[in-house]
Amino acid sequence: MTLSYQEKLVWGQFLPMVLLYGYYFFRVAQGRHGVAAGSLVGVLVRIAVIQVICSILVAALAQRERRDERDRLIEYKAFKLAYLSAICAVFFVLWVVFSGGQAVVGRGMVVTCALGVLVGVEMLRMGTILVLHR
Amino acid sequence: MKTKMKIGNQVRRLRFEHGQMTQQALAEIVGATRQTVLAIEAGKYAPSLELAFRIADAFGVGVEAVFQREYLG
Repeated sequence: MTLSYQEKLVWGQFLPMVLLYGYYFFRVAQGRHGVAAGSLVGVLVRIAVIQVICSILVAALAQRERRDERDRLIEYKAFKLAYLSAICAVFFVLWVVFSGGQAVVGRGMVVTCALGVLVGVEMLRMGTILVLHR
Repeated sequence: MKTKMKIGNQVRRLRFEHGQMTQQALAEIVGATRQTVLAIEAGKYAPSLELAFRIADAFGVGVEAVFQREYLG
């Protein structure tokens, strides 16, 4: 199975997100660290650095290809799916907040869920791109 | 009632008739990626009119010699 240049780029963004956010949410779920801004900023910086390194490696090692109409169509479909999912998820989080759920689960959990929505939507977008490229 | 239609193509055959042209070579001529040529040949992707004309031009034939409509059902 040969991967196209675009697929390699997306995998280089996708894998660090899965691993580092997975680790972060695992730790949050276990209550080892809360939703402290410092730990989240650390995760974000690490992800950004690894993604930049992956992009540089792909650009240096893989044969560069221009995006064509199919790549743009796939990105459009993935973005549309992620956007619609984000709207649904945001309304769900708002519903939890305004229906008094925040008092039950706690503000920290609502913030974690909101972050989870953002991460989940981004992963859905990248995952859709990878699936539609096959 | 609208009849279901599938776009068939002769890209693979035409490539071989044009000196065993590779997918990569065709992709470079028409300004697409090799994966797009592969997807077109497999019938997984129907190209835009512009790309269809570019592919036809690459083989020096009309677009109807490359792409055909196939009615299903």
